[in-house]
Amino acid sequence: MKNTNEYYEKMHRIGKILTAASVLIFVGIPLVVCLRYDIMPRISDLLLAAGGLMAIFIPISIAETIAETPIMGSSYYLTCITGNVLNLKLPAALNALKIADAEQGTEEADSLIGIAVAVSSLVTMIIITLGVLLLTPLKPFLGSEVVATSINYVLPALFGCIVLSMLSKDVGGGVTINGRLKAAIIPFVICLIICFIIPEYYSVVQGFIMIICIPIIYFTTKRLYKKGKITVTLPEEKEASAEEEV
Amino acid sequence: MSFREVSESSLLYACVIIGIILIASFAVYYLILCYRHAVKLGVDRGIIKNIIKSSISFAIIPSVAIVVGLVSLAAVIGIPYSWFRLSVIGSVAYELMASNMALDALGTDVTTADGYAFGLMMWAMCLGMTVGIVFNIFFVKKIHMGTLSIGKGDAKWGALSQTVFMTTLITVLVVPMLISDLPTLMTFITSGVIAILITMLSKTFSIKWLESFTLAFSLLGAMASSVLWVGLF
Repeated sequence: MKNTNEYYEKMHRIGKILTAASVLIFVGIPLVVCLRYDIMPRISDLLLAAGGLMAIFIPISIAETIAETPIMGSSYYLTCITGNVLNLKLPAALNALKIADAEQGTEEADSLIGIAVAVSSLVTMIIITLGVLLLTPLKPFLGSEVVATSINYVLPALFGCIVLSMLSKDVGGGVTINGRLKAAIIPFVICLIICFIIPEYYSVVQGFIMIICIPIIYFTTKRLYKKGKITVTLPEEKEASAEEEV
Repeated sequence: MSFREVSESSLLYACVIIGIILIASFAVYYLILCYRHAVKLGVDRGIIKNIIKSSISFAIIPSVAIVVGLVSLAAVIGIPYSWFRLSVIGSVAYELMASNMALDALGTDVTTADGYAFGLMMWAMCLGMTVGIVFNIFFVKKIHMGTLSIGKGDAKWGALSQTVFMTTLITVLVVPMLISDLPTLMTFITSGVIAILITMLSKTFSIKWLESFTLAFSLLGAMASSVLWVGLF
């Protein structure tokens, strides 16, 4: 336990330092350019241009942090710095857990998610840099109808595969859980209703929807588990029953 | 100075290149840390290699989608700042929204905007997202450690409680894919079907390496199928 705490302490400390350094880079670029060319915006213009954006995006980003941190763990710092959470980092994390058969919420899972997040971040940076270098020759291909159509479907193409691992009883690390999706029925209906009422704003408010759904799923899961409607089998129990059979 | 003189300036290119190299070095450093720790925990190096290979193979397609977005964003704010924003924290939709709001604030548009407008755009793009991640410095550790402490004392509830967040996230994200339109639903189903086929194939013929590419092949196949579904529906 001590080692685990030491590990998490270290990773969170590093995450905070990397975030602070990245904020300096993000702010440093407009600062240097605006000072050099004497185009620093007036506060009144800045409030007019960015005030509305900040009012929308800061609460959204806080809501997403609360919902996504438990899954991404200490890698959430790097995840946010390099962006593309839902279309890249989250699938990469889930994929890593599936390949390693690692149990969520463990130190092993946390470090493997870190590997997946770092690698996918680097791949994105390399591909975008190649895209910049080859922008002119690639323009006809990137602007073609086939590419334009298919890129609109990246998320369903990713999540169709990912959802399968959620349907599985095996949740990694040799742990088997029966009936856990029963707890998701009410949130599923809530999401359906919200999606029918405000389809165009659903993606904007999904961070808030997650915050509403987490306690619903949490307490329903706990209740169903206590009632025996959701059952958990640990790897040591499987080994013991296998030995008995022998 | 004109809008284009600033947005395509060599100074901005230099800043962007330095910025990307620094952020990339953070990712490399983080990769090394996590790799060493996973090995120390006894995770098989072969599994780690599979995770790296799989992450590389599947990340290519969504990254190409970002490059497509780069083409449209670069037409508005120039290449260097688009390159930087999309390589790190930004997204095409957000950057376009921020640039439009900056231009609206000045009552101008891209054709008549000057260097000052570009400066305002850069700050508008920067502040909306950056202030959000400052929140991480203060709260991510508390949230993460808080969720890890759930279920202490009951190993079964501990394992079960950790799946709650994933179940929530997937439920919330998947619903719009199921009801938005038929091509989206069919693309979603195609991806799942391809994943099942690959899993069956790798198990039946003991092709272990294939499992690492399940996500990449499902993504590629489902995206290709979306063209067919759009044509049909």
